[in-house]
Amino acid sequence: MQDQILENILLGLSVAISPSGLFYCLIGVVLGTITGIIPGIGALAAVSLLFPITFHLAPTEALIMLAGIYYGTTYGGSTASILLNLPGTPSSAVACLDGYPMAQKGRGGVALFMTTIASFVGGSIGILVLIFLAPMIISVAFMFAPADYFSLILLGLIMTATISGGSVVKALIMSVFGILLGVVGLDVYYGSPRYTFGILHLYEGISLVALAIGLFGIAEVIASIGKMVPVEMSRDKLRMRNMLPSREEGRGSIAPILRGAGIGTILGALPGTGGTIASYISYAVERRFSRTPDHFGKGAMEGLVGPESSNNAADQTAFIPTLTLGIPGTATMAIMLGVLMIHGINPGPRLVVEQPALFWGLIMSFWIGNLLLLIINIPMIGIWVRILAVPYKILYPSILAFVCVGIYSINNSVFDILVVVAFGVVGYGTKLLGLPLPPLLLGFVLGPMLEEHFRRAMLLSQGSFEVFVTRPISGAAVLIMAVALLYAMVRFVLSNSEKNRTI
Amino acid sequence: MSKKLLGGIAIAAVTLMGTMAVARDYPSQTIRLIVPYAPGGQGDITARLLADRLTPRLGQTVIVENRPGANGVLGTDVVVKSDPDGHTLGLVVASHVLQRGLMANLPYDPIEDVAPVTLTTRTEMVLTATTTLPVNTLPEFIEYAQERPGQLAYKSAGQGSNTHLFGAWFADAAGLDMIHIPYSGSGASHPDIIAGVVHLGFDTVPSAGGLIDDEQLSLLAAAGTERMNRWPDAPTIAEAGAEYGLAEFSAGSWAAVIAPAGTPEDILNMLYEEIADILEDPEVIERFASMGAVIAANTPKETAAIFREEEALYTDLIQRLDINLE
Repeated sequence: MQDQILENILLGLSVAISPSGLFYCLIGVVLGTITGIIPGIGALAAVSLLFPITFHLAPTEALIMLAGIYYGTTYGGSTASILLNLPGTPSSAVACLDGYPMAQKGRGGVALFMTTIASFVGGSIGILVLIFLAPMIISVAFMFAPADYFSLILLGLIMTATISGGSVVKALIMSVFGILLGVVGLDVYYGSPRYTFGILHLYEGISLVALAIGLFGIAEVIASIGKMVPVEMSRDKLRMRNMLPSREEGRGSIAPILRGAGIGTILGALPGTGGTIASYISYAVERRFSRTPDHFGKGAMEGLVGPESSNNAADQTAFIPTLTLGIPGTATMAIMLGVLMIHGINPGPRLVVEQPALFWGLIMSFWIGNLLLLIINIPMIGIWVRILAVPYKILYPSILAFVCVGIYSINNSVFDILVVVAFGVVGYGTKLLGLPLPPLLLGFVLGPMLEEHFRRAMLLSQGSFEVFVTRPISGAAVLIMAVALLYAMVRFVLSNSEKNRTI
Repeated sequence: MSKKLLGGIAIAAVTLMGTMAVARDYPSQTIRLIVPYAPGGQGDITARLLADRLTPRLGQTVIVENRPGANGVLGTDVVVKSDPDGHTLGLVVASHVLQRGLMANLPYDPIEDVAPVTLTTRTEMVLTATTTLPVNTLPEFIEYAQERPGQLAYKSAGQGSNTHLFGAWFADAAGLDMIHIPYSGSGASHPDIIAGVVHLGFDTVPSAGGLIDDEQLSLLAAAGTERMNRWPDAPTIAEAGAEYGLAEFSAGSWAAVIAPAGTPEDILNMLYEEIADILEDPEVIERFASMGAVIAANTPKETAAIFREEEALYTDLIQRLDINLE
């Protein structure tokens, strides 16, 4: 077994470190970083542009390049989120929550540095799990039936209902609003259009990137009108020394990074979830574990590094369901499956055995790629941070232009630009009303999955709710939920009666 | 009266001359090949393979443009509403001819508003079952399912997708009472069918091939009219299921290049000849074969006939089996 793993690693390295392997990996991660930083242009646009080139490449080289773009955008996406509040990719929207406040306090350099480290550690842990546990991960997917998915997602939503810290009622309102936005489009089971108002463009739902960019970035631009105070940018701040976190922060980040990596590794391996959900769950978990949950949303380091580590770990393990079961977790993964398809390689559990050079070469190239990203990104931090010193009258119009181009490029759709504008206005409204955005995003991402699995479970059980408690995984989740809810209620009653007594 | 007539003739003449002029210096600009689906799927890959080869032949760049949305309706709408001068083309798959049956508010006529160029390829499909049931052949499955009405489920790549239609048609023809469980895409259904949560389903060869070879799924039959090269031992549904009312059954998909209605015939023919030529290249044949697709290369007239025929068949099935959206 150990010999086998060593042999696989060596085989993988020989492919990944070969001149052509390195070359395509470098192209991938550089392009990925760039497209990730430009708001709205995600991995999908870059990958589909390069897709025709892959006809002329060997499948391993093609996949190494496209994979580099895929996880490279996750790195780059955080940069735009932290510095400009513009999530370049769906999973990096979480980085806006605490990364942007840090940048506003002049600590953008530290935020970027820690993000890069967290991403690297998360990615590396994901890869280690891939190497040692790949066969186990494959079988995990079969253990989860629709009822289990439903209960776990519901558990996630309930556990994070208090994610915003402030008013629970406001948080619940925003979760439900998020779920409502998430169900816009054609119903999976009957195909009936819901909340589409007869607009064909809404048949496939609201794009997460358009929603996030509107809520965060555009709302920010609107809010800044009239109070243009650029971040102070002294030469001093750009020194390497000032990009390092304090000893305390560094130590405090270790646990969140490891927890994030754990969450990401598991969620990435579950078919169809991927990095986006992993980063939201990690954010919620960090808030739960934090001794100072009030700091979240105001520049808490844990709220930044946990999710960043998580989505990078998930990006790696997400290749397991994609390559072995043919499930594209994301649109980008769908293109990578397409690359396999045109080279006559069918996804399946046997791919690992039949194409060892491809599989292990790809995995080892992930690690090389992550290393390259680390090397590329650390020296670039100083340059990126300088963006903040650009006067707003130049910076904001160019951001708006980039957003328009980027959003248009995803689906070649002008309608998506209008979606961004609409959510910019909504985002500004929530700012004025003090409504929290994390529950909305979580509801938007998880709501449709919750519904899909619930209805699938009910169809299969022919309307019996029993499945939710008789299946072990689902049953355990339901039990935890019941205990958590009961605990919350008891605490509420007790604290109220205490209050009454003191009056 | 005669003035009107003269005017009419004049307009007709000008239009005709205009058309001829367009045809003579066609293509005079970049050609857009619109794919109404997301990148990465069968239709998208077909379009990109063709665009790659068409560009040097036509002397103008052929750009693939993905316009996904509303099951292909958004992008197809862009094609049919473009100038019919051959500079905007589309690549659609078989679901194109299901649209009218499924959607009441379709913004175009999938037959009359479209000028087909050629059917490029036909994609083979397979009928697979979960390995958790004690059945290995199609007759065994049908008999097993007959004894358990309402207890087994077939999966599809989505409500109103062609895999849904074929599943419903199969169950209806064999007289089986089965539950339909739609997924978002074929891949998403794989864990559930492997684990035995759902029991039967239609799939394309590239999507299920790896799982069949690895015995994660059991191959009941080839869904088309002929056996497949890859698994020559597997019978077709019509062969194995003839006694169960499936003698007429055949399922498969295709990809076709279309233009807006009104595109001059000589442009259609020229495009057809170029594409047919590309489809004779052994390397291209090989590429498509590895995707489970066989070259079709039907002429514009043949393709139009196939569109009409399949639309009539499927619209009838959709109504009879009560498959609908909304």
